[in-house]
Amino acid sequence: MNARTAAPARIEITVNGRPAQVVPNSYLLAALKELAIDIPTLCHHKDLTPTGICRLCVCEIEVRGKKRLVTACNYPVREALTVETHSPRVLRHRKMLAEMYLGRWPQVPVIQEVAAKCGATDGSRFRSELTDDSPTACILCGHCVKACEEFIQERILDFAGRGIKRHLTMPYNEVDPHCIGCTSCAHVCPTGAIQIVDDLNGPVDPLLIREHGMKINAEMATLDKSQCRMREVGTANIVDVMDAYDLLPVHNYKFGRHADTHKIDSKRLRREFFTQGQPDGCWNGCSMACAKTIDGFELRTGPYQGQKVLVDGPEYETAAGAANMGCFDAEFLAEYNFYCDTYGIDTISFATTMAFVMEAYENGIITKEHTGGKELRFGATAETLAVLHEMAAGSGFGVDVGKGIRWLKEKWIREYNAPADFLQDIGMEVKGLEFSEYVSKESLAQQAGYTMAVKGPQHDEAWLIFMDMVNNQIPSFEDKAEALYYYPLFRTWFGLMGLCKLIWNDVVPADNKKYRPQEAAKVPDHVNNFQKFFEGMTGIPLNEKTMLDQSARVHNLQRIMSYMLGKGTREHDMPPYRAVGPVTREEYESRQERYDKQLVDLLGVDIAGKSIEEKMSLLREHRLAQYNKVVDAAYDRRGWTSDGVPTRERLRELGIDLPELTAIIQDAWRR
Amino acid sequence: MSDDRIQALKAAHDVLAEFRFQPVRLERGYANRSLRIDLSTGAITELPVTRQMKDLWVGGKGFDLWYMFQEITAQTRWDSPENPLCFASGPLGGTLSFPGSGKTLVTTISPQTHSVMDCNVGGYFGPYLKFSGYDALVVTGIAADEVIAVIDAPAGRITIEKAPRESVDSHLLAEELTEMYADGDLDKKNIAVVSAGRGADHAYMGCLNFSFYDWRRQAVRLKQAGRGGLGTVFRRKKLKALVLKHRGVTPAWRVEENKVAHLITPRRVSETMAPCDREKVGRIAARWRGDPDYVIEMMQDIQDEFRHIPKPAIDELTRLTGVPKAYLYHIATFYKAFSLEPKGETTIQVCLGTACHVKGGANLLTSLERILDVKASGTTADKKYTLDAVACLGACSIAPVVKIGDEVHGNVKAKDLEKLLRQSGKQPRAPRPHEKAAAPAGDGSAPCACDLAAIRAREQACAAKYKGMLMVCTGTGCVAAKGFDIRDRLTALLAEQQLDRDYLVVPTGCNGFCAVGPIVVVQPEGTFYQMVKEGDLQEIIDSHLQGGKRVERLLHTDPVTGAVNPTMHDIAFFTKQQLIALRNKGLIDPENIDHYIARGGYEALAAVLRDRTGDEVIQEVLRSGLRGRGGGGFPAGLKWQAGRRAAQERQEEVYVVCNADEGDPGAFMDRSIIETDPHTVIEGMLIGAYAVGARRGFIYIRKEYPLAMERLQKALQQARAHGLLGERILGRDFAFDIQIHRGAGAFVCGESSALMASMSGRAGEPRAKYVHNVEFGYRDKPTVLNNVETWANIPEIMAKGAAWFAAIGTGDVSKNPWDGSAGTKVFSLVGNIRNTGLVEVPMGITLREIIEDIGGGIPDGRAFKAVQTGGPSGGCLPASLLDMPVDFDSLTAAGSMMGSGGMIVMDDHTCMVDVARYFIDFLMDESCGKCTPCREGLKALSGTLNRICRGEGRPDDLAFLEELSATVAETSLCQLGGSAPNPVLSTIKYFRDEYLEHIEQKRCRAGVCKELITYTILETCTGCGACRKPCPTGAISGAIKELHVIDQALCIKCGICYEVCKFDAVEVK
Repeated sequence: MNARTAAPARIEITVNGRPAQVVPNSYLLAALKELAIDIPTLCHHKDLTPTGICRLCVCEIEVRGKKRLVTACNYPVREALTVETHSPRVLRHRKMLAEMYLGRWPQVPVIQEVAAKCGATDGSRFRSELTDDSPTACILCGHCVKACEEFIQERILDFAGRGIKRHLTMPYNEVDPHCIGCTSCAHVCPTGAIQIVDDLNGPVDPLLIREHGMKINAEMATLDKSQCRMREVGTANIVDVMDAYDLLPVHNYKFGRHADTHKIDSKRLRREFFTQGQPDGCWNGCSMACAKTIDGFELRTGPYQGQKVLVDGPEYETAAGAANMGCFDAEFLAEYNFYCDTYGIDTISFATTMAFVMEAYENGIITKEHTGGKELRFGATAETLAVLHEMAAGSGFGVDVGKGIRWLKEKWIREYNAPADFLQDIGMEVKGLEFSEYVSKESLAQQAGYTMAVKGPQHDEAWLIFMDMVNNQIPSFEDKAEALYYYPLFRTWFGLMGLCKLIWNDVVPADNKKYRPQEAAKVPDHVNNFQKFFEGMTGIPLNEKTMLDQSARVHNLQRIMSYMLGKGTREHDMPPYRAVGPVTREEYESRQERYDKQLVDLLGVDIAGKSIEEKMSLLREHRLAQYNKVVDAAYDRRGWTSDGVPTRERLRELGIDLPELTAIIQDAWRR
Repeated sequence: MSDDRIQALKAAHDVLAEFRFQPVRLERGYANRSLRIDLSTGAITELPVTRQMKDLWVGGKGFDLWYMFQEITAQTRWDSPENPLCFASGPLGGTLSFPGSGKTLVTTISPQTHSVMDCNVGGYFGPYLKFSGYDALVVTGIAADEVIAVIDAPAGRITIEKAPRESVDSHLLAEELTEMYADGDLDKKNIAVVSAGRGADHAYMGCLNFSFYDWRRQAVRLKQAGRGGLGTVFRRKKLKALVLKHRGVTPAWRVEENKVAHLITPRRVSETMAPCDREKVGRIAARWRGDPDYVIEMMQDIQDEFRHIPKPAIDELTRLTGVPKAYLYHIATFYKAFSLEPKGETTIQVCLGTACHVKGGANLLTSLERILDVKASGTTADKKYTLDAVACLGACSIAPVVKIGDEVHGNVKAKDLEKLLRQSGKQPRAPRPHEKAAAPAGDGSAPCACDLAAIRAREQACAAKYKGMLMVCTGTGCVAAKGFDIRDRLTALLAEQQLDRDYLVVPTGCNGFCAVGPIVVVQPEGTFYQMVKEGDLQEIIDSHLQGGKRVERLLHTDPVTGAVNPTMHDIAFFTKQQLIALRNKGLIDPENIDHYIARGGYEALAAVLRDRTGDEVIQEVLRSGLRGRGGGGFPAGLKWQAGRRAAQERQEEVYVVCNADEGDPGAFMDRSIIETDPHTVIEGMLIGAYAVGARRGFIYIRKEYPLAMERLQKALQQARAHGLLGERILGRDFAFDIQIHRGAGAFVCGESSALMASMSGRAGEPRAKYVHNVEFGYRDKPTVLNNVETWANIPEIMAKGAAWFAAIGTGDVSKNPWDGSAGTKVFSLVGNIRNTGLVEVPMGITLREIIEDIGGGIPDGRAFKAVQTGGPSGGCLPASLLDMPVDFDSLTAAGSMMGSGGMIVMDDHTCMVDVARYFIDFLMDESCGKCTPCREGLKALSGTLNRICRGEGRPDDLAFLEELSATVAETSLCQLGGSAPNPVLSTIKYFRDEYLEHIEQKRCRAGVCKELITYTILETCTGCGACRKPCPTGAISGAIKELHVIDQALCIKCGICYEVCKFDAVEVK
């Protein structure tokens, strides 16, 4: 709900003589359900768009003095009205309708049930040569057709024929080879007319998996459009959000927002590029379908100049990378996205490295002489693409850029006598890997999440910005440490299973707020879905602990392997200062109010008369100290030594104190 | 990509290593084995998956790391041969019934961090790897040359192949390999490719691309394992790509067999299509720009081209338009225009519209079934003929009607059928109308296209040069009676005799008096010649044009008084009419826009654009009291107002739509208006568009009306050429254009929401209209829909003012348009009535005036029994209601409705139970089947009525009919079902005794219900033998000049004997 629109006024209605209140535009049946009034239905499904075809939910309403019958399931309440749900007229029609069903499909249990409710016992007046005595007959409710379209957006199923010849089928009564086997149709079928089971993996209990998978499909169909709009714009929706919260990396993470973000945000992409409105899942059965594309994009540069190509993306990280380079240009975004992909270049490392190069250029650390004549200021779209093409061609400055920030820093310090401290501060890499595209300055937990990630600063191991900074749900060090324990492990779990993390919390149940905020962030109902998924597959039940332990074993294995390769200790978990606080005067001034306030409130500093440089220095000292405290707490919670090495106890507790593993790290324990 | 190029790439491959494997069944998410490929040695081996691995590391990244741990040492660097790239799905990976299960996890030692890197990625590789029987894949070593590794699961074969010539950049490489390894298009979705790109050759930040085939876009898509230089390691190994070919995941889907599926599923369909035919489909799609909204149009073209919808054409159309196959199949089985099996060379359509029904159309069908030895909808064994029963051909005034190929035959008798069949195809095809007959040349100085005044002046000057105009009716009715031939012959004769400088032949649209066609009217005085034959033309020229003396025998004679009526002004059929929508009827050539302009056409538009705002126009329409002529009678002004408001509030585009899907059997007003005066509809829409702020308009017209379609298309072209459609219309800041959608044979598409579904390229199923179309209509945008006649009234209302219009008709609508029925209404007056045709009368006129004064009463000395108004869902009104005024509210109160304006008169040879049965059967056939009461209720109504007609009625049937009718009427989703029981209820109400006779006495007094009647030959038989010869079953015997006898055992009650007997010696009882 947009904050600017007022809370919806309730509409006063009268139901069976009793007053009630209804949210405007809600369907009458939903309102009646809230009032605990039971009306028989056959074609209504809580997660599918109501179409009002069985007509059993007819009610008699009176609006502005005019009486008429409407179907409650799809009648939107928009003004005051009087409803009779069980008037003699209504009951008479319901009984007749139930008889029709009973005459056509007498043995179907849901029909018998509804008929009994309607007082219909004998359908013989409606028996004909078309009467079907199967108990699992298709009753033309249309759930499957809608599920195929709304759950999965596939549209493989439809009715055929018209009138009394209407029936459900795939074309020519044959299985369409494009059916992906998601089983949504069978899940929503009330009679068992559709038989399909997803047993490719040989699961113990496929129906348990289906039951929980379909919960997510239903949420995707009903909630995504008002939550993250993953189906519509994919992860690009995050661009708008990050900009709004001052978290979008701009000019090598100096800033968190920009006046030109609208030129590359999801609204712009939706309007110009993501116009297809069709399923875009990167694997069959994915109802989130976030893998958007730009179709028929005409390239302006490089070896494929003038050709029309399909651009896979842009996803958030790629779009945010453009912002990081100061290139607020949708055409550039599409072009750099395409070429990075086809050249086999990581868009994130490319953008973060280029942002670093641009800042170095603007500070005179490198010049045209080094860049092969290219003026690589922020926003230099053509020059940036030229660098990319050089990288692919294996000649020129682009080859250097392709080696990444750590390599560039070393070279420039070594060969160009560049200021090492400044480059360390602004070179956004940890362990040699470039940061992915979130500004972590204002979130301690995100800083630690990035830098403690075993492989390097990448969000798939930790993404805590919103909990920490925006929602302030983990205020204490212990809270942060707990989050830095739980979330990296929880996110790791998806990697053990072959699953996508986006399903977990990029759409959440409508009632997720029933949990207290810290719990709600875990999306407990979804965690339960995943536990049941695993149980349905393997027969092994999971709880939160056993689930996290699965991840912890692999997480510690990876940490030990890093240690073996000479990494995996605290010194490799240290961030560049740009990730922690303002490196430059310009940055400080851009958020001066906030920083000044922190110095006063948190440190008790009298800022009067202090220069920006003095204040920056105080803030830096404070923030780095805070950072180290968080790392201490998080290591401890993870069962690691203060140097970041897993302890023997922890390995034993997890059952992975295998000799070949302990042999690698035992020297660290002795230290 | 060309096959040659693919073959060339493949030919350069050299298999370096090969490994055979057996597929395994997955258990609880695991294949329980993994695969290791060593590129240095070419060794391909299987690795165990141990219980301990599953317990400790679970799968995915856990397996990757564990395998990696076995391969590396502390000294391994990213570019060491032993640095492995490990790929894995996971135990839950690939699950289709749980979203987001398609990730592949990849690990290696990174060139950037020199430590362990892991990455997850979408695409199909991971799931396919697992389904091929491997939980993980370890790729180690470095190849000597550029290679690809191929895992071909269907073949059970893994190879390492030299691949020197493929591209390196992923978007090309993935496509090349997908094409190379897929067995045809359908198999492409079973190919997954992992690749990097040439950037990864040089950079440390190289990524991997995982492909999947997007069959909707027909393109290979790429997802990236981006972080940490996986692509760099990949390329370091001289790996070009990993290719996985899987057998697919299409499941065993089954739906419980529905008892009706077999009625539709075709038996013989061809699975293949010749390339040239495929190209034809491509050209057809291109003609409609591949626009999914026009997929029904494309299918009509495909039907015309192939005489059915070939199965491969559906696949092709899905490919070309993106419209799901299931939707196309729904469309193909929903609309009557389509057939899944090939039709015969010639299609014979027997009209079963109401007028044809009451005049014995059903007998024609049974006769044809017998003659051709096929059932309706069937095709003869020699593929020559397909016999179709159609709802209405809109030629009701010449009922009963049979259309053979393109030729319409009116007033057909059963005994003539064989002759008609013999003649069909032998005669040259009836010529189409063309312009050369009419367009006056003018003086050569063409005025500016949009200078209306100049055009009018020129036209009038031009007309003044002639002594007279010969208006030849070329409406559908007269065309069926050789109207075009009359026109052509007359033109030729005048030219031959050099009279064409004095007299001009003008082909006009429907004159209205269809009963007496072909019609030639000599203007300006209006001499009315009826039933003109080609042979009469010279006499008209000689006597009338040259001699100044009318040809008496061709003039109209009053059937009662016998008085001769020389001109139209003398004929009661015309004099009681008041023309607004039909004001140009018979006076202009509908194919010449200048004729329309000459009569003041487009002046109203010009004035509106010049002088009024949109709101003012709407106010004018509101004050006129104009209510929708399509049936509902909703005030047009209110609709426009709502549309304009919705568009402004939501800042959305608004559309105007003309509903020309005149499906009511027995009605042809809309067809005639378009055929007669298409520009009045266009001008009306232009004014409406201006008023509501629309830039685009659509006309949805029945495919069954080819002549109307053609005239409409010409009219639109001419309007565009005159600057009356397009940008800056009449030089003003107003742009608007109109596109045509052809309906494909579904009565329900006349319902507004079904019409809009159909316009969007979907099966025409209505939706609940709790949210109105005017707010959320076509494409969910505000949409103002009016029918042809409503639009046709608009120009005249704007020209003469609201007050003038409101003064015609009933009630006082000046304050509220609901308070009366203003203006006129066009009716098609058909059935058992003398003057069949098209009439326009002021609202409030009585039924009696229409039937007796205008219609000339009931012919053949029979008695009036009922008049049916409002189309199939209207009601039958008895003689006692003949003095009822005809307006929206009176008709509804009497249990009928205005509908679009069909008026079918029935005499005492009409059985009212049969009429009800006829309408219910029609509606049952036309119901979309979406909602239960309409689908199941009409089936039960039909069953009961048919039983009664067979003489198997039961005492409680009437109560059941009434009770069921109430439920169908009150609970149906749309107005098709909502009004469907009207024919039942109104006939029970007014003709209850006939029902009771059928039920109790098993008697049909009208002699219609076959099971209840017998044909006998009376003593008055002269033994002429006229009945014996045509009797199809040889049931009649008797020597010449002796009393004939019908063998009741053989008699099929076709009625031919009754029809042919000149002595009234055949009795029906």
